[in-house]
Amino acid sequence: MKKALKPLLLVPVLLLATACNFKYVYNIKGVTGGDTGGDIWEDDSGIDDSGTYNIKIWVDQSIEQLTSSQVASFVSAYGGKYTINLNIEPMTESNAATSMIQDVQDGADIFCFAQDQLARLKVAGAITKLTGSLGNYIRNKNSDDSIKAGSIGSGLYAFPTTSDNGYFLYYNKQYVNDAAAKNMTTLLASLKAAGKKLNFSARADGFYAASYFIGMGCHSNWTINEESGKFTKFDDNYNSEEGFIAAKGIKEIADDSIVATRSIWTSEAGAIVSGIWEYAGLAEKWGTNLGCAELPTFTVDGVDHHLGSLDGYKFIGVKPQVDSKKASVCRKLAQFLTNNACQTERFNLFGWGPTHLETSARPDVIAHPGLSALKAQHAYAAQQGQCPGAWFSTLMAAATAIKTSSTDSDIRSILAAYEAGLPACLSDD
Amino acid sequence: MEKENNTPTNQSKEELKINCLSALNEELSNLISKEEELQLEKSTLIKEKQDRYNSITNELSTRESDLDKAFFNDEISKEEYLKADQELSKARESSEIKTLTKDLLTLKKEYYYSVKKCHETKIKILKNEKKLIKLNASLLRRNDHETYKAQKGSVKEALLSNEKQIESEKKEVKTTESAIYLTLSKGEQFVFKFKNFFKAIPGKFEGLGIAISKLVLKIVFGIGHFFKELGLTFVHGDWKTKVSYFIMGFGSIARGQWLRGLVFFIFEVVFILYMIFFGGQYLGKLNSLGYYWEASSIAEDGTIIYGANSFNILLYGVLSLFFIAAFIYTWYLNIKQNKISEQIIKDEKKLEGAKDDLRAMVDKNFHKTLLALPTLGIVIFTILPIFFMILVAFTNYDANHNPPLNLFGWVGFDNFGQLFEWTNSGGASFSMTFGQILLWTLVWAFFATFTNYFLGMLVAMLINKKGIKLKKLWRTILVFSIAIPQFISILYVSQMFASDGIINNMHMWIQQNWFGNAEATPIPFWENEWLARITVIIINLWIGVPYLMLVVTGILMNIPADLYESANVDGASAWQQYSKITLPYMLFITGPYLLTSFTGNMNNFNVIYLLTGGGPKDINMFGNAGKTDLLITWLFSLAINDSNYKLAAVIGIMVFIVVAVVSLVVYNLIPSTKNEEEFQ
Repeated sequence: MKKALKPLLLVPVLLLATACNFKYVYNIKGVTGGDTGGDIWEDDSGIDDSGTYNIKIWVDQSIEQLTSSQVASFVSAYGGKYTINLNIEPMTESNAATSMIQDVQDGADIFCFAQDQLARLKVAGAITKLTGSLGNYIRNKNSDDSIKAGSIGSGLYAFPTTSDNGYFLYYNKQYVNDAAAKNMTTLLASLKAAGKKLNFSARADGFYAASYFIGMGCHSNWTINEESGKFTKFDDNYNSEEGFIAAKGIKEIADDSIVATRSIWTSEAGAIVSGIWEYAGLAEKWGTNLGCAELPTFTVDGVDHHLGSLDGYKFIGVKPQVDSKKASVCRKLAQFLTNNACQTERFNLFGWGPTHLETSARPDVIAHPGLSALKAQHAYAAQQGQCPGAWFSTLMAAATAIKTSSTDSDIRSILAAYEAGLPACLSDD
Repeated sequence: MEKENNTPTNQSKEELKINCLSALNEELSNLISKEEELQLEKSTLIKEKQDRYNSITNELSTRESDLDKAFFNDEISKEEYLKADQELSKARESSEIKTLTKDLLTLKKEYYYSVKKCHETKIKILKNEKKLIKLNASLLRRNDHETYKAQKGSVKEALLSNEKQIESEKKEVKTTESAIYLTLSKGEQFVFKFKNFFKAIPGKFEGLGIAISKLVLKIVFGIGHFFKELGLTFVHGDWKTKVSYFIMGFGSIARGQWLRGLVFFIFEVVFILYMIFFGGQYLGKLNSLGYYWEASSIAEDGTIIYGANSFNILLYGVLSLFFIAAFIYTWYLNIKQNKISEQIIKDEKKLEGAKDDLRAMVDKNFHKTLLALPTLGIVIFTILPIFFMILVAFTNYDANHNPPLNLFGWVGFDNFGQLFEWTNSGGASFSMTFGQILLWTLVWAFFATFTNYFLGMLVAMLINKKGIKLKKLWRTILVFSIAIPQFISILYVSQMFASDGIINNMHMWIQQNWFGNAEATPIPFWENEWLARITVIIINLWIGVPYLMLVVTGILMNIPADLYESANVDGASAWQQYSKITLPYMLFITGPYLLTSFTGNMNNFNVIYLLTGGGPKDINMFGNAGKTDLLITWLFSLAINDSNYKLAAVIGIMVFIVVAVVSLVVYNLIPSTKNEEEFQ
């Protein structure tokens, strides 16, 4: 009944969600002899958690099949100790938190989510802290930055899954040569000559607009209360001389007709600023002409500045359970799904960048053009850290306003309005 | 003591009042007499002027008919006739006639105003008389109770007749106002209507107040009656009835009506079990919605102990309240049933048994059988959620107070208070944003409704016009836009108008290739606030016009053709025919449609959300709302993106209030609510 009442506020979304909500239920019984590769955390708690469990998992639709086979591998790896009635539901990483906090009890036991949602999940009590030997195990197996991104204060809350939630430049070598891809002006000139477009959402998306400000050395750091998970203060200098130059940079490309904001690529695109998730599609379309590189420099008042970016991660979270045995199994399963073997599988099949140190050290991962470009961009990137979702929309609104501004003083007043809007992003009691 | 002597007693106070009122009434009567004298003067003047006017116009008419006769009998030539006719026309527009017409209108206006004043004064006198009757009665009651008792009936009658007289005077005022209206010029008529509209507002509020107080009284008396009936039934009922007060259905079962008795009994058992095992725990916490120490807690090993959950407490608490109300009503029915059965037995008639009850379900009470399920559905899925949403507006339910770990609680009117706060700790205030979005919502609803309406009508008239070929083809083409699901077509159109969409690509190509403008920039359809607003209104035309075309086509065909034929004979132009026949007819028929369309557009989520997503987003608005956001899309983004359920609920309530006010006001203004004769 509860589900039937919430639509009062959210009818259209739920209608959509219902329309898209296809359910797959797999019954994975204790099978043996499957692929049991990959590192496994050894539980030192001494709990006997063998048995049958109903486990609901939310993952991106693209890895739904893969995840079910990985769960089968998990059952095999533990020697048939568990029988899992698996219910996998497709859920985008960006919507997982919203759905979880709407009804924690009815939400998934294990779910994939993007870094910026960790705080919301913590406030609602939808995610458990990884303590003791498990926490240490995860810390030792994954990159430091990914651990930092999955932590609030000193507590680690999530299992790092991918390290690729950042962006870099894709370009079609047919229209843009490697040298031209290094500077925004030459890049745009090459594209213009070829009648192609650059897809870059700097003027319509806070996530991308941040690249100019980060490139100018600006920062926006948010402090989160470790206990409550609420944002308590911020340190932001986007409204500064450096920020002003960044905004002028945004204005420059916002006015350029060959810079498009559409997030999906089209045949008109000759270059795209996006993440690793576009790699497979573009590799298929552009073939050997596909080039990947760090973001270019941009020029304001005759001075070149390198574009920055936000480095982000994706995680697997585990919901607190009433049954301590199920909690134990869910944690083991989440650890398994993020171990080196599963991360390698995701890299091989979908090109997802790993966080696991062993997988990251593989030669094919190091040689991957997209991940290499992301790594090169890493030098100019800022860690996304924990920031409120409202900050992104405030930055987006500022970027949209910059596009329609006409004078320098307009830009300065937009930055001032942006600064004035920041306190509203803090959690109030 | 001296002070006491100076203070009039209660009796003398009343007498004083009576004296004052009588004196006032005398003065008012004098005023009426003076006004009546004035009216007499005016009517004499009016008569004189009217006579003069009539004699001139009659003379002109006689000359006209003589001229016609002469021309008809070939006594004068055509040139002579035309010349004379022209002279006559000039004479009709002579300054004397003009002055007379003007004077007559002014005099009549003054006369009617004076008549109105008289009636209004009479109302005042009658109201005073009413007070006098009451004062005299109260004096009499105190001084001579016996006489008072004897005359009580006549006092009531006097009051009633006074009330009737007031009503008839009010009617007279209205009739006089209509007469005044006819003497006014067009500008004055507008001012008159405008003034009357605002003058009527306090009266309407008074009426509303009276209606509410009557309703409250009715409820209070109803409750009183309810308890009285319960008490009397208990006292006078037999032992079976008395037991039924505690065991529902007992009386019915004991008297052989086992089916209805069993239903009552089962209902009671279900209710008690529900309250003990489920509802009671939520109801008990409804006042606090759970304290923070009762919230869920998560242990180090990843286990959770689910504690109080404000959401569930509120939801099931409200459900329990509904259940209690239903229980009280059923309990009352059970007692009433006993009373009725006792009466039937007393009258030595036969009681209806289980078979009769079953038969009645498909016969006499078939409507109840049919409506039972839908009613239950409406209560659970419509009324309960609405009630729940209204209650959420009085809590602090948002991202930071999200169960199970963080509970929310009651905050009274704090959220509504934000609607009137003009400053905020940082950034834009909620109230300012609300005001801006409300204004745009109303502007949007106005344009979306009326542009569609008039263009749809125009298209329908064009297609309906005689001589237009391939009518069915044109209609089919227009209907195509209805045939494609809106979700898909709007998303597609949104992409078409994007800065890299097909429209802008064409614009750029034309600019570059035809005008050689290499520096051309895309048109910011979705990025410039004004362009975005205009574009959504225009795209909405493409969606709405075909519907209107279909609706209007049917109505146009129903307008009697003879109206147009007579208009043609009288030489009316196309515009005159449209404005005097088509439009009034259309407005009369489609008034309610326009109203629902207006309110529907105020909540037109699809078009705005799918076209612009509310954008362009504005950094100076609360929660970065967009320039094309309607209240409903803003509500959506507050609830979904920001999990700010409390403010979303407040907006929901405000949307309801705005829609209700607009609907009520407009409904009372549209011609469709008046009767057809008045319209014609």
